[in-house]
Amino acid sequence: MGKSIIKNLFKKQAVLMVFIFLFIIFAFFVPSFFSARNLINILKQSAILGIVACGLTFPVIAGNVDLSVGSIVSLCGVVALSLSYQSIWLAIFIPIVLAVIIGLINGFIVTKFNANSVIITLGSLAVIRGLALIYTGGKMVEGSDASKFILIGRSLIGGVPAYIFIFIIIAVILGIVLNFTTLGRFVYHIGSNIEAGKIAGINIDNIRIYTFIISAVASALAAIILSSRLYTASPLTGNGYEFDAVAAIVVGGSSLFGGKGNIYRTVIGIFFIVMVINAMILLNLPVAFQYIAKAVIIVVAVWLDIRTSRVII
Amino acid sequence: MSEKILEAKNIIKDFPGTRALDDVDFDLLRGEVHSVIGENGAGKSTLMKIICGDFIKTSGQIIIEGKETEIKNPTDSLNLGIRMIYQELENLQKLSVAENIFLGKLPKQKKLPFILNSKKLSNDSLKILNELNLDIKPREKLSNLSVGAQQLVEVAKALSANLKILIMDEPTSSLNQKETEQLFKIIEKLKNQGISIIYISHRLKEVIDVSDRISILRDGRKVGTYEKKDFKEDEIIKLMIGKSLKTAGKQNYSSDEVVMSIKDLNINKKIYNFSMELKKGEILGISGLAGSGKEELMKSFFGLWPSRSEKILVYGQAVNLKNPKNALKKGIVYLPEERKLQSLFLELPIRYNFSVLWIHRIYRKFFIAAKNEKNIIAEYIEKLRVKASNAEYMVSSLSGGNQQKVIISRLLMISPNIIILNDPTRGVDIGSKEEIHNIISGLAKSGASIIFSSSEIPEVCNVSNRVLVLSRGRLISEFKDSDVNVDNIITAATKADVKR
Repeated sequence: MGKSIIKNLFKKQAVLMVFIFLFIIFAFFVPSFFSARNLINILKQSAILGIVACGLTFPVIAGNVDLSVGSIVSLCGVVALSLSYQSIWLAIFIPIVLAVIIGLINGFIVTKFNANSVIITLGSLAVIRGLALIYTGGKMVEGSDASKFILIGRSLIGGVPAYIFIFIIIAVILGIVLNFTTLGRFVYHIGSNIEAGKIAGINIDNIRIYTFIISAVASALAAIILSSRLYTASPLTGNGYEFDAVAAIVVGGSSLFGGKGNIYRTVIGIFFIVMVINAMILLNLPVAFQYIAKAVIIVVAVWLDIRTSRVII
Repeated sequence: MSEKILEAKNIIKDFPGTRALDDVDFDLLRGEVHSVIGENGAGKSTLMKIICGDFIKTSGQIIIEGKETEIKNPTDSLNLGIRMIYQELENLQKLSVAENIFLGKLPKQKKLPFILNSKKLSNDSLKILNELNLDIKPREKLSNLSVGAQQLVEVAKALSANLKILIMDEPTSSLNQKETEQLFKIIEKLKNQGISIIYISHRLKEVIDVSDRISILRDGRKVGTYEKKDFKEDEIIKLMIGKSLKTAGKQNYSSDEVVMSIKDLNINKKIYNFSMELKKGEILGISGLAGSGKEELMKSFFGLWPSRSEKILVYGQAVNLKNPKNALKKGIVYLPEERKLQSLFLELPIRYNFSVLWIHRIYRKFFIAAKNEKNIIAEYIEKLRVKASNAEYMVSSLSGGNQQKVIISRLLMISPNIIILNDPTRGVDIGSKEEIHNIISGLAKSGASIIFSSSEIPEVCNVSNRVLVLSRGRLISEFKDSDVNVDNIITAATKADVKR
């Protein structure tokens, strides 16, 4: 019996096990990997993407997907930075409000027309990036030197960028919402069985809309941090974030069919992908390899997902 | 003397923490119907899954036609000529009957290798359907058929050139009287063709009618096998549950107070001018043959089927039952007939499946306090005797009867006034069935009002104080107390049917 408990543990925490395994291998065989500077680098990369991915976890568990997150990052990034000339508070507040509106629209269209969220958010992706292009006139935006806005992305706490802690706080908050609130609970129910959810009196439409709002707002927060850190923003920022975020969610072990997953898994997924890419860069592998690596990781993750769902005992 | 087509010897199956089958022997003769009965958790499904290749036995031998074989996966089992028809329908609703029957073996055009030969598909399906005497059109979309007809299509699907052993798991759970007779005729035919059938059902009378032999499993062991000439119902029940069945004396707890009244409810083309009054503490049965509109009526009480009424009053207040949320607000709960599709959240923990109504109807706070939730779940696990060792496991790990108890607990947790039960004991073993009946009786005693429907007319009679009989969308008879019996109901339903 003890043996099967360990076996179950491995099955359930398969991704974590592989992650630790790879980490150890990289630590020994990849030059400069196991240095404070590099590890902090990995944390820095993971933080921004991680916030987006954690937000995206909500629609995914509910059985949908939000592919517009990358564009939301770009639009909110340019808006935030351009408003840094006015006031730091506007620079934070307006992008968030913008994200809430976008999330509302995404959610509304998907629910009221019972449309496929892949198609709808693909459309949003295009529209929002178009808006970003219009807003900036196609140019890059630079932040105001006079503003305190830069502190968000550049300040350090104990030698570590402050925004890493922001990421941790956001992840914890989202995790609490998912696991300990009625809203989070219903997200799981909807993802698992919509029909049963309806019969149980769950307001499917509202919950779905909330998931899109959460996803959008998370992207906005990531955008604020990113634009503050780089102090430049362009309509092309965030391009491809949706791919990485979905990849992280899938690699972490959540199911794209809904009903399965959590913030913890998403975070592991992000670290996993960022770490592998980081190792590849340190090994001086050509950029093309990184794309291939990402793709292979995702295929393997999805394959594992399908295999462990159809349990053959 | 028939030869043994299947022999399972000393079968043991272990799961982490439990032994599901303990040294079970089972054999099957060619052309016989051998039923396997037992309570939920007795091991019937496990044994069948081993024969079908869904599970791998921990130890033991399987001998097919005299040769010892290992069945390692479903393909092995299919190649040996073993096919299984499941209790809960898994066929594809959007495809046609013909496409379902030939799933995976669609006939291709002779000259064009990748193109479907739809004419042949249609003709071949028609041949099979005719052979089984089923009046179903091959091109009909599966979702347009009644649940019972879909089940018969499942049977058609299982027939193929190589069929030697057919396993039927609760085949009549969705069938009405007529469809059950059709099924039995099909079974006769199959027997004559030398096909053996393993029949699993909780309906003891049916099992006695159709079987040549009956084997009884209890707690993972085989406790007896009977030949047809030795069938004795009470002995068999005693072996199944380890004690004799007490027949519950039916009490009538109805008062005069009317909790719900419906005036002239109409469902487009299904129900015409239906009116009724539900009294407090009453168990009201709704009965009707196929096509009577009973299913749609039951659903409309909970807002799951569009209807128009002149007036619906709940506790004297006018209400509009247009969706489940509205109904829940009024203290009405509903138990659907297909729990896998309509009640269970299969991948979610047992805990989530218990508390989904409670958290937003009783608890109502944004943050869910784990302790409160655990407490109320523990309370109901005890009250309804749900066999769930750990509430964090997925609910799919529970047996059918226990899953049903979880759903019933879910409803009772919010202290409902009006409880609509649509076939609550479908696919549930005799022991749990009795427990559920007692629960229903207890609920009526405590003042709740129950609307009850079942696919088994005898059950409706056993449970209800009053029965409304529907035929072709109209309420044609009402029976109370001692007039509630099978003869009256069937006579009323069929007489009205004929009188057209």
